[in-house]
Amino acid sequence: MEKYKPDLEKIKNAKTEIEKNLIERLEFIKYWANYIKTHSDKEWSEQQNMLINSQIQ
Amino acid sequence: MEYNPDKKEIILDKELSNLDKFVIDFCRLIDDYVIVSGYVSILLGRSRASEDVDMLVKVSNLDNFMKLWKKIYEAGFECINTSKPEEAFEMLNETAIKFSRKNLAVPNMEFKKISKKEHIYSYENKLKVIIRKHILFISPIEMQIAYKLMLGKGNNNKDIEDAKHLYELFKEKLNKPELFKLIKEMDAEKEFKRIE
Repeated sequence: MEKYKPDLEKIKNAKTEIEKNLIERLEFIKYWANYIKTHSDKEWSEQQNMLINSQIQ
Repeated sequence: MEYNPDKKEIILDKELSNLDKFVIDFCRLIDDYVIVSGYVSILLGRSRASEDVDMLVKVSNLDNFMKLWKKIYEAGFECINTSKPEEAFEMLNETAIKFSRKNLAVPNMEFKKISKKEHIYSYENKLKVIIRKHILFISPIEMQIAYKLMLGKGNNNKDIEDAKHLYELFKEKLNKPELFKLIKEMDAEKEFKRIE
């Protein structure tokens, strides 16, 4: 599996902790979107469902 | 996942979550609708859940609404705002009403009347999503991104994150002039810079 490499420059340049947190989250979303694009629907949806089905009966 | 912008169609072969099953069961009762907001991102892979799903519906008059109400109740759902359809119909002029499976509060469907300009846009330009043998209609991706960025103006990170997810997933296939037009209309250019 491709490793998650966030943009450290962007993270370093964040002016506040709040901004840093958002940048980190957005970087992971970029990685996850790429995972969806490069894996089968079955592979990503099984992982997504573990999260959703733990909260929604 | 295959997105064909010309056919306005997305084909998904995902495993259905409990939330997907709830939405599919409810939507098969409604003829004219479009799903908008957070669930669009979730349906298309965003790694989060939601207690509610937003649906815009064409509601013409009380008679038609009463027929629909009966159909919804017969299918095992109930309105969590009121048990009187006339009252629910009145409420729709001001706000969304919520339907859930009987005796459960979540997940629920936020049932909203198509009224605003952006509602009409989403309805008229809706995308068809084919998930195995099921069909759902969702708002166009460009509108979803612009709308979520607009909501994110109040530093609402969840909305910015939903926009980012859709943008990253579909950026090669988006209608960029249309996206930028919608972002401008919603005065969300600054927020777009955060997800680019």
